[in-house]
Amino acid sequence: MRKQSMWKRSFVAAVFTVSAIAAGVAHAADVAKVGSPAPAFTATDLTGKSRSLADFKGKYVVLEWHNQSCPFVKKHYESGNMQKLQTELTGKGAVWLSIISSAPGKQGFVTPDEEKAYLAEQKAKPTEVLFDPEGTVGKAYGAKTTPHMYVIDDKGVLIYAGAIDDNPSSEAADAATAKNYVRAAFDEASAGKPVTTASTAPYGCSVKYKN
Amino acid sequence: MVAMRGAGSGGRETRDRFRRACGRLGLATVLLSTTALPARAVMVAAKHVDVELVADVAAAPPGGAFRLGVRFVPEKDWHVYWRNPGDSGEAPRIDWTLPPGLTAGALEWPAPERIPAGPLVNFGYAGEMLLAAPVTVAADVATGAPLDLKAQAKWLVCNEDECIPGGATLALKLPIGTGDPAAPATARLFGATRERLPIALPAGWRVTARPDGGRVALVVDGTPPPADGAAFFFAHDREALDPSAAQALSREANGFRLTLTPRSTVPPALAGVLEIGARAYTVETKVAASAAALPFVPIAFAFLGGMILNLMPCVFPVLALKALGLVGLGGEARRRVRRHGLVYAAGIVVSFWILAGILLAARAGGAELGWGFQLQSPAVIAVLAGLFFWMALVLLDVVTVGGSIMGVGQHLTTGDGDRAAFFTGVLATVVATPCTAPFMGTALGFALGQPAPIALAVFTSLGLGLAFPYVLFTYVPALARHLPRPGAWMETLKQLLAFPLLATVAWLVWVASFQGGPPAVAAILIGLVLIGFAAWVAGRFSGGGARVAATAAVAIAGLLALRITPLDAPPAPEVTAGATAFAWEPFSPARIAEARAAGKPVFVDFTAAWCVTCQVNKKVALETSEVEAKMRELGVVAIRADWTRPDEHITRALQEFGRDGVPLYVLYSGKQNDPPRILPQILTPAIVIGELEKLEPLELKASELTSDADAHRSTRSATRSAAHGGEIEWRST
Repeated sequence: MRKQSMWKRSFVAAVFTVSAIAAGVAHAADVAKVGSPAPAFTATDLTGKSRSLADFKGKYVVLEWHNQSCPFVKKHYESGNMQKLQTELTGKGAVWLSIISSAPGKQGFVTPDEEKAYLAEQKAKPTEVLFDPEGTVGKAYGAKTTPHMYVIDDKGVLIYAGAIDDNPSSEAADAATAKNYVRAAFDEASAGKPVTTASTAPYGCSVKYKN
Repeated sequence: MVAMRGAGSGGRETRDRFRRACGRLGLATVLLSTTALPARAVMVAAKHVDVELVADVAAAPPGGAFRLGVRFVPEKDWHVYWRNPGDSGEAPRIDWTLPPGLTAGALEWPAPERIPAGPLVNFGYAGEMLLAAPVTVAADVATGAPLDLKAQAKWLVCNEDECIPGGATLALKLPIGTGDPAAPATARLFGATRERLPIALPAGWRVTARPDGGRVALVVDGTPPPADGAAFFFAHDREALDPSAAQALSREANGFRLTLTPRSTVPPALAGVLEIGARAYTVETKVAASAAALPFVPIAFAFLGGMILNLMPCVFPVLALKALGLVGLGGEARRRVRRHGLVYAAGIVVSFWILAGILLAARAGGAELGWGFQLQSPAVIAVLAGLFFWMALVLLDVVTVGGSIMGVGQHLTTGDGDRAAFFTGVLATVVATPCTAPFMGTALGFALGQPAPIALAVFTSLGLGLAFPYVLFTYVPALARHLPRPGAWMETLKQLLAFPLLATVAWLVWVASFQGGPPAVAAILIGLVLIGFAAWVAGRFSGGGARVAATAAVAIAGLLALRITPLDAPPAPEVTAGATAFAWEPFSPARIAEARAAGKPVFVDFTAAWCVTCQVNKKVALETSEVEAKMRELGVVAIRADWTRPDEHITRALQEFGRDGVPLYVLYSGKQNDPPRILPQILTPAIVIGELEKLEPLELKASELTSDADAHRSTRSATRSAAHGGEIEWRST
């Protein structure tokens, strides 16, 4: 029976080795990835105050990359599609952050007052508009287009990234007939279901990042 | 061509007013006067782009066909888009309105350009573009009046800063006639466009795609890589690939491959345009390892490799002991032994699955790992060193475990052997790990790049190969009969087998010294002393106290091992300060880019201390005076990418070459666009020098050439100078 104990010890050593290997494997990435915690960020709002993603802990958060002069953004605002979604989701307790990553001098870069006037004119209802002139937030999320949409669940996990809907056109009339991915992701996740379409190719104008 | 300012051409306000008037998008409608000349259209000057409807015939042939297209001429720095616009933008759309008898086919998209916009990449056309479709004309088409052809075009035209949607209803009056060619300028446009249309793959070419980790390998068989290294795959589907991801080109046995990056998950199929140099080809392929492509060769090699592992210093002692246990067994015992052989094989295979599973899962989670990752952690190295040391002490009879080897066979027949056999398999796998990485890293790296089922098949085959010799012994008594009679020699052999294990321990400590520095070495050595103490206590005394003391000593050794942390900074790069004083530089993508930009050839040695093949190549080939002299002569920048410790930059660089392990030897010529050449895994000075001599003599200064009296070299330089004038053919080695 002492023979047996040698194998036992060897087994302990083997398990020990395998667990050490497993421990060495754990890595954490710091870029937005669907299914992983959404990267933290801080940016200034319309009043010049610093706002962080952490301020909205425990709530669903929708991120909308925004550029009011982009034809694709106009499509969704001039058709009223974006406002409808904003009202609907914020009404269900979600936080809506419109993020402007246009650099100074580039299309879509606006002052807080210009943006306020735009929101009033369009009757837009984001929870906050955040300014990201350095493009830090945009790059952390890999935002490519305006609009580029993200949904973060109440546990801070990114559950959707991509296009606003399934019709990548710049025509306002298409917004009404398209399947809206953001609404679908929010509805499924808040009903405790897995998100069917969690990642799509965004469409729109390029984000006008700083050179 | 009559150019006319259309309604869409006014200032912004005019346009906005017009847009409101026309509803969405602002459709500029240009109506032609009915007195237009045959086949004449009017160019619409919209914002930042002129558009026009054109046909490749002066008159449409009844019963024949012609091409009808919309010509886009964007302003300088503006562009329109391909069918897949890339990261942003939108493809133009054309709706035809044709008279009865005319039918338009699908739009023919010329191969696009890649248009960068900051970090993004769009696919489109920065210059004149013709988007045409074939139109068939019925034989009985009404011939009374010219054909009234209309196209409603919508587009998005962008520069780097803004995008403007546009639209126009374009018209063309085309007489009916014999199908004479259009005016020369239009004919030239159609001709030039035809050159840019993707064509079918030439006979003998084959394009396949397979998943490669999280990426897709698009393999082009039957043609060498383009001389200028320029190849790109444009996917039709926006969702399929990340437009801004680089597509690394690497040479394959019978062609080359591009490594493509999906948007999110690997698509089930790829359709698109493969651009190679100036030509574009239509490609459509499933992304899967088809049944025919099941890699029997790697699976067979894995089996063979597994068998060879039995002879490695880490594994041989374990296996030899098991084989010795078979000596002199007969009848009943033999049946049980067979069963245990199979259970042992199961233990091995399951352990390999666990290792492969950990790695595949970690990579699916985005970790930058390759095979050999187990040996990049000094804690793992320390635990392995301790395990081997313990086993050596057992073999040397410092600890007595269950009497003599001769008893093993009998012991296995006594009922509780299944578990023991299984864990022997686990043990064999664990002790084999340090040997798989150095000797089989590349094969396993290949396996890990395959879809999970194939990867597991390769690992299974490896495990079966490792188990095979022992299982064979249990099944073929004739083989066992060839073993010598049992006797005292078995004790001697058993003790002798401790020394390969101790040699492995010495090697592991050396490896750990690179990863954790002197603190790691100290911790491992103290751990080994503790293990030695535990073995002595266990062997010398019996009873509870001894067991507690031995267990405590081993536990402390284990804690020491786990507390070893990798050094923050890598140790100073190994610089050989020999007579040649040739300097290897540490790996840096920026340094490689800089040297290549300066037109210098670059040699990269991907290596690791734990990679035995790498170490052998280094000593035998790379760090020889003749190779270093040749490198100095040619001004080669020598880079050493040391993967002894985890380094995600190096892992990524390896993946760009489709590798997941070391060694890898890459040689960039001084020319920017030459694809890098990959050297074989086993190097000799002649191989390296042969490859170096294929470099162009750009770095050779005239003075060097003339002052060198070596006739041989002058001749060779002349040959290379001659080659410089013409096409350089890259030969695979």
